[in-house]
Amino acid sequence: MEYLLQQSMNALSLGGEYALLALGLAIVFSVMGLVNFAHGDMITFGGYAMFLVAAGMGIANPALLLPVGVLSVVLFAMFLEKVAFKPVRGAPPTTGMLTAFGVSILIQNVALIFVGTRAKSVPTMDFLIQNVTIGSVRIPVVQIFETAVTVIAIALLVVFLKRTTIGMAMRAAARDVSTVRLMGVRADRVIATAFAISGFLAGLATIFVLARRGAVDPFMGFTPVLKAFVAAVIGGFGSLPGAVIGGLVLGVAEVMMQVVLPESMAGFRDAFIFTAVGVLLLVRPQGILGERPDFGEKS
Amino acid sequence: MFRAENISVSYGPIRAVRDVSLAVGEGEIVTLLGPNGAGKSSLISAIIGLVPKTGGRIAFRDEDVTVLGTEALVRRGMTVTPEGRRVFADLTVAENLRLGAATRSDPDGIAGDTEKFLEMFPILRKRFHSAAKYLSGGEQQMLAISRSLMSRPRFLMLDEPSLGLAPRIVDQIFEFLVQLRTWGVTMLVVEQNAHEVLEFADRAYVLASGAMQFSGTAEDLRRSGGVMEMYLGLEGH
Repeated sequence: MEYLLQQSMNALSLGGEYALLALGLAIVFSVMGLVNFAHGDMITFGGYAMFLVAAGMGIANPALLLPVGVLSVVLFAMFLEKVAFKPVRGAPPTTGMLTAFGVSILIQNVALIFVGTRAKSVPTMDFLIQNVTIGSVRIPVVQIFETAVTVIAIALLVVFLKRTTIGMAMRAAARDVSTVRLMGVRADRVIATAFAISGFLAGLATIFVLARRGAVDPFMGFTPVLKAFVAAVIGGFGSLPGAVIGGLVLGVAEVMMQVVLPESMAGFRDAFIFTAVGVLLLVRPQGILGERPDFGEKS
Repeated sequence: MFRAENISVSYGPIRAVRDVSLAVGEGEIVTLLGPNGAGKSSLISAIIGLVPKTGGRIAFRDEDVTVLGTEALVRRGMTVTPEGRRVFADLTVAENLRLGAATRSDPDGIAGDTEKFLEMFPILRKRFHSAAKYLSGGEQQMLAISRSLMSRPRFLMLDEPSLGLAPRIVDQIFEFLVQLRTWGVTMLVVEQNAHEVLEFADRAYVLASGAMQFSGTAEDLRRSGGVMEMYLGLEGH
């Protein structure tokens, strides 16, 4: 029973992290058709920002450090949109994707040159890796924090998308950007907002990625962006509810594999999962909540 | 109040609109007629800035707005109800109307206007909280026009508002346009079906193969059997 509870908490928190990551990818994809492979490197950026503030300026207070992490990723996402993605907006989708790869490689190498190949620890994340004991169940603080933050972030996003004009415009732009422009809404503003939200979600994820790893290195963004991509594909690319469901499914699947697989096969966990994703896509190529591609509608 | 001069639109090597000029006076209903593929939609899209013009000038209310983008034009009081209605399918009727008022920041005025259109088209009230994709074609057209009007435009361009609709619904939509004139909205109605629109339009233009073929009063056009027959497939009288 305790074991089950602990593993459920594992699955829920990991799934929550993947959901945040996948949502960040999906929200940009839905408004401008861009798969932002530099999403993971935005997390790297946030990690280094927190490292610099913690180690360089000696600020250890998490109440200061965590907002720095989130805010730096938001600003960085908006900066990337302006300098890297806006110039190629009218170009074919492949151009955008290649631009994202370019940005990703650039960020990794800038980190390599200026900070070095070795991982740097960010010690002030300690409070997140402690445990709380409820009855006889021990749960890491990071998991409780992660689950709560995911739920709150998704709730805020839903309210934003349903209640604000710009949120409605973002949902409408997912299908028909020109008609959104006819409403007098600037496409620039919709896209900048999408990147800001994407950065906000990546910023939250940064905290958890960092808490789990305890250190930053130039390639720390690779695994998160890969998981985000897989989660988004499972849920149906471009669908926001799909991204959440895909993230949770992926988190649960990983934890289940860990529980079920014998130790000698633990290394094959991802192989099993990717096989399962492959099978899912054979049955439902559009993902769980995705719509079948409709080539006539979008313009 | 509105004047477009020598507008050209090209898609690669194809010149869809060649040197077309057109003017609409305050309070007028002007119709732009022409067969399928004449360049009517290209001209409208170029006017509102959704496709680039390769030449020409546009003036609106004594201001040169040639270089302004779509969003700025809408803010100045021009808008288009696009061909095929293009309601936001996944959004509710309420949200579609709210987005129509995206340029406004007067909650009371927005609520008042919404109420006005719900009075006008009771079916929209009934479907207020359902997604627009569940509306019939005619209902979607009523929503699309209401949505355009939520920005309180002075000049409304409607791109084929009768397309694909039952005659009874077309009558209802056209009656609404006539009523709209009394609210002080100037209109340019793009149509393929000349007959009905000429009954209430003041003036008409005929576009074919990307060039203007006729310009005059609706009365003149009805009398000029040649133009009617050649470009619009109708007998003049």
